[in-house]
Amino acid sequence: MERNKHMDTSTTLPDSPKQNHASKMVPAHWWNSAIHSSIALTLWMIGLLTLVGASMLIRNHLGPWPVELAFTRAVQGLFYGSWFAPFLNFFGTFNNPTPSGIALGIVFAVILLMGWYRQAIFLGLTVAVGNGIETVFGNYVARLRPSPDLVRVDIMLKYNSFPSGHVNHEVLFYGFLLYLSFTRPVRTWRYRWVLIPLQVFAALNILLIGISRVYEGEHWAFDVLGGYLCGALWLALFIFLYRWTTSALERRHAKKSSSTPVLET
Amino acid sequence: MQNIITRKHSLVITAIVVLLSIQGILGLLFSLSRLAGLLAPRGSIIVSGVSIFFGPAGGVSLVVALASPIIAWGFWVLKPWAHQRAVLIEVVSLVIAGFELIDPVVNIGVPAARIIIAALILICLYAGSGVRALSRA
Repeated sequence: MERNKHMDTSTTLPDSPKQNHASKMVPAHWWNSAIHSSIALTLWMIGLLTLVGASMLIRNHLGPWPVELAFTRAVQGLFYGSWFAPFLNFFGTFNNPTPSGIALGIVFAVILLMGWYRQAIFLGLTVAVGNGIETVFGNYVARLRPSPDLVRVDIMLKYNSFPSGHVNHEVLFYGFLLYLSFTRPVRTWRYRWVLIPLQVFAALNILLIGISRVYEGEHWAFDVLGGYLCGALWLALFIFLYRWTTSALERRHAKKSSSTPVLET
Repeated sequence: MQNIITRKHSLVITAIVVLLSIQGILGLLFSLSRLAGLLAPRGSIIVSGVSIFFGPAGGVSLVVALASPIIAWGFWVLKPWAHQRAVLIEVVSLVIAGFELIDPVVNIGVPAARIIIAALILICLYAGSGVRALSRA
């Protein structure tokens, strides 16, 4: 403690200009942080209200809207060449619940065995809670799947159409993995280039799953948009919680290490 | 001479290595056959209820099977991380066995074998003082 006190007084005196400047900087930093937090919270609340409003609107109009029907017919009527249609089908099939559950299990276990416990727990929580909330919205709206009488339907499904569970899951799962891959420890990792193909795959999954669901006739356009919005909302919330937990643990760790007495050598 | 003495494996560590190797081989057989069953074309696309967890459990069991020989190697060369990782995969293995017990497709022998091997490894991990000391090395 004595040593720490000495170091403090040796760097800045209580009335020194440097410390006065620093004390004036703290409120400015606090204001910036508060403004950013307020903007983020406002945007998140607008997103949540939009999702709730859209759910209520679609619940009162379960059939396809003319714009959705036109969009699906346009997407299904386009010429994709010999490779792009199987490519879209691959993303739809790969992200069915069972294969995506297996992928989640593999990634979760690998992250856990690497010793990144907090990341593994947050990945599991993000996907589980996000998919659970999506199911609640789906059960509330109870929208029917696209009918084969209106558009081409690859596989007839019976579960709720709004919001799209595939899209929601992809945004949560691959979105959180992408976020983790851009955090500082991974960014500064020596073998970070190994992750580039995985990052591209994750981004492609998120981008193409929406169009794939419409192309396969499994969802209407608003279901897909609802899935993106729902996934983005819970992803943002869990990224915020992850960052908050990480910084709280770092503060606690720093406090603990600073309170530990330094042994004289 | 000193090196030879310190690197000599105790009976407990040899037992853990053998058990982890058996777990790896059996786990690979079980998990690959289970994943093939889950991904079979006749399977339903949308899953609900408790069967939601069977996919993730299958994925985790594959990773446990693949990680077991690596951790066995870690014990053999006395790596300090081996103890912690072994405890982790045995706990995970017990959780997977719990899911397999409620899966009607899985034969009861699979979770039973998984539980027995995991329990034996955990006993070995906490019975031998030399093994516990490895984690503090």
